Amino acid sequence: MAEERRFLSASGAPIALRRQQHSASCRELAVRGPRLQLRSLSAATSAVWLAAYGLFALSENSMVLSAAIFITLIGLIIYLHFVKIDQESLLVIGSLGIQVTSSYASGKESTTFIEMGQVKDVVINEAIHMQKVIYYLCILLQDPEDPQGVSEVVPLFQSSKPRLDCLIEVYKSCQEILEQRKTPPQSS
Amino acid sequence: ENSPAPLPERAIYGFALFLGSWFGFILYLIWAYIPETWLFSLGLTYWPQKYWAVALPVYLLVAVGIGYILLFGINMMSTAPLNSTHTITGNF
Repeated sequence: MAEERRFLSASGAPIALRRQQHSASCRELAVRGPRLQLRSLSAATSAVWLAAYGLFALSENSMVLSAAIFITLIGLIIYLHFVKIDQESLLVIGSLGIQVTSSYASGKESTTFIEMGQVKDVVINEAIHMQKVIYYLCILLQDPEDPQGVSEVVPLFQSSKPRLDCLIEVYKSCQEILEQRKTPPQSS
Repeated sequence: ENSPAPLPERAIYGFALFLGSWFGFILYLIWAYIPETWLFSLGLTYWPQKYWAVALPVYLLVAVGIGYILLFGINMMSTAPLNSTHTITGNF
């Protein structure tokens, strides 16, 4: 069963959280950001082409115009493939691990899997980021030999940056699964 | 012994600094405005070029302006990134 709710990101953009329960110990939470807007694409393209036309008017060199078209195309492809993240999802499988997936606008998906032995906890941390204090969800990793200390911090949902209300929903869902590993398995 | 109340030694330091800074300022004005030939006729031939009377204040003001930006940049560089363990302050 899947349910989708709308929230706001830290910068005010509309994002949607989709929660899917695959089984009693497996949940998938996906945060989908806004798609590339036609108006921002047109604004960027017009700005680059106007600047190129101004350079052409000054220098009378027609290579500037072809270079501007080339730059716009290559820049758009690079942006869609490496920068614009459409959806970030978290798949929590109790007793197996946590999988973090980022899907880019060009269709590329980049995945990271963290096994449950390394996961110490999933917490909402607050930190200073670019002259603001933001809340973000992160996975605390532990060294298997040293269960007391935190070896690494993996921040989640870095590009969509949900606000606290969305983070609390994700946190509660994750904690329901993570709590199950503390209670020993009941034989039934 | 670190109270801000006026002590006799502080008064003397303050007055010596006050006289010294006035002396330095008058010396700077003399160096900057009196023509070189007059200074030569007085026997003062080895003073620095008058170019520096304008250049040093400009260097100082530009350094102050850059200092604002530099301090801002140093602050941003020392802020821990989101994936560092220094952001965790509670006990776990």
